[in-house]
Amino acid sequence: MSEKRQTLILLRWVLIIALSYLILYSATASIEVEGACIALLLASNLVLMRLPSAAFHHAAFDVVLVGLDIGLTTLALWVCGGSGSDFYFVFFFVIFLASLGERAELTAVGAALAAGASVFFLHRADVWDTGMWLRVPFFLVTALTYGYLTTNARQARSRAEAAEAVLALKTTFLATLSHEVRTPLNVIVGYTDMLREGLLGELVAAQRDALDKMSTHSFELLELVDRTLKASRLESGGMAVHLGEVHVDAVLEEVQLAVSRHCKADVDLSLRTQAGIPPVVTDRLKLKEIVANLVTNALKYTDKGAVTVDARWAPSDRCVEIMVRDTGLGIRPEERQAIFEPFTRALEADARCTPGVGLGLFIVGRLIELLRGELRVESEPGCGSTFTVRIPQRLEEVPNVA
Amino acid sequence: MSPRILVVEDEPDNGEYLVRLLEETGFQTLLATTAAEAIRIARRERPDLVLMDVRLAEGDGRAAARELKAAAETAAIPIVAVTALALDGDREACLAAGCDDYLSKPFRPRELLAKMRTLLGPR
Repeated sequence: MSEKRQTLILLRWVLIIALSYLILYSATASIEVEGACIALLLASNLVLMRLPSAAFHHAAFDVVLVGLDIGLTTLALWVCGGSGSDFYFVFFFVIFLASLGERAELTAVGAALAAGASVFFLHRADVWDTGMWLRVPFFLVTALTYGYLTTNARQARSRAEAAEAVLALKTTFLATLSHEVRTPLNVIVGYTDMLREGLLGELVAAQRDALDKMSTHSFELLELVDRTLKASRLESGGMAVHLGEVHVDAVLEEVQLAVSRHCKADVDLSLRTQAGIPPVVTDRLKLKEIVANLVTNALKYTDKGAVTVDARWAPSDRCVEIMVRDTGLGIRPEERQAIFEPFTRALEADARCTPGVGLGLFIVGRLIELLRGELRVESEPGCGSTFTVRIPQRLEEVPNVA
Repeated sequence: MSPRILVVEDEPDNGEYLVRLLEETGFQTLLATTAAEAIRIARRERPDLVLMDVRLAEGDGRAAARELKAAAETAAIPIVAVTALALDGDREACLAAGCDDYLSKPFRPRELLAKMRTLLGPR
């Protein structure tokens, strides 16, 4: 972190300039000692500029530096003999320096020393003056507040940086995982299909049945990896939005094709688009994925009845509303927030051993955010759920292309 | 004569599977496991089509595709990138390198054969 180095050096330049000014301003005949102190401070700052960054994080560094600065400043001002209130602000710089050390004790000790030094050395004559004593707690409080704020800000920043690094690492890891899972899966899926199609010899019905299951589950495994990767990329903000003119009816047709393997005999799936919806400027693939995820979920949690998708135009808000309604399990009110968290599913889903890991709705939520849309959930446990997506007709700028 | 396909694949089981699939469906095959070998065989044998893995243990399939497309004698050979790199932008990167088509692993044999048929044209 070179930030501490820069701030320290900069602050010390200000300290040196202020000190020189004060000494010259109240200069008596000779200023050898004062001059030597200033020269030492100057030299030490030049040394700081050449020190390797690692030295700034040495345990003793802050203590030595603060001690040196308080000592030299006090000595210079004391010898100079000035005791005007102007000197106080020099000590502020010392305290600020102390608070850069990220340690509250150091800040407190620095503040106390600076305050003590100012009272006992510079104001010896009127040390019992109450105004003088009041300055001690004032110094302390200022120093502690400043130290607390800088430490807090720095910690928050390093926490955020660490979290970001972890996210980036996770995404890279998952990208590698995706590559490494796809490679063997290709052999599995390939031979399975070759066997199913009789390219490697005739099959009996039971064998074909087993191969069909292997095929389905191979692709489910692939989907799991893809979803985990997608969730991670959405979390780290590494997903770009590609705008284009999108026709909602065409998107729904694609969705119908994409979800066909989740269709069930006892569940009617119908997708309807109201006539006259204007073309929407948004990201077509993301919109398709949102709706496909919602429909897949609806089909998963509905054993009997219907899943209906209705798209309509809401002219007053200039947005397209897509409503996915099912007659399935439903979601309990207390779970309505949690289902959008990654790797979280409704309790019922776990109890029924429905396949999935709980990433579908997390992805939907994040994608809708990217498209600047809204999602509303209504549900009656045991009777079904309705997910309503609203997408603005025109997504203007491209948000979050990190 | 049946078309000759150059399979570029460094992972042995994937290579064996591709060769087997193609031979079962009436193609002749050549196999290369590194980018350099792929370029050498393509120059010498002039296959009718190349199936190019991208991330190879030795060399980069996209660079090999670019090289084949840049040389006059191999520029006309269609190349299909067949790769486990299947993230945003991987398809575009393959097409930009000169590949004529892209297929992500795992794929269904039918998908591959359909793409190959399109590129090989009527015979």
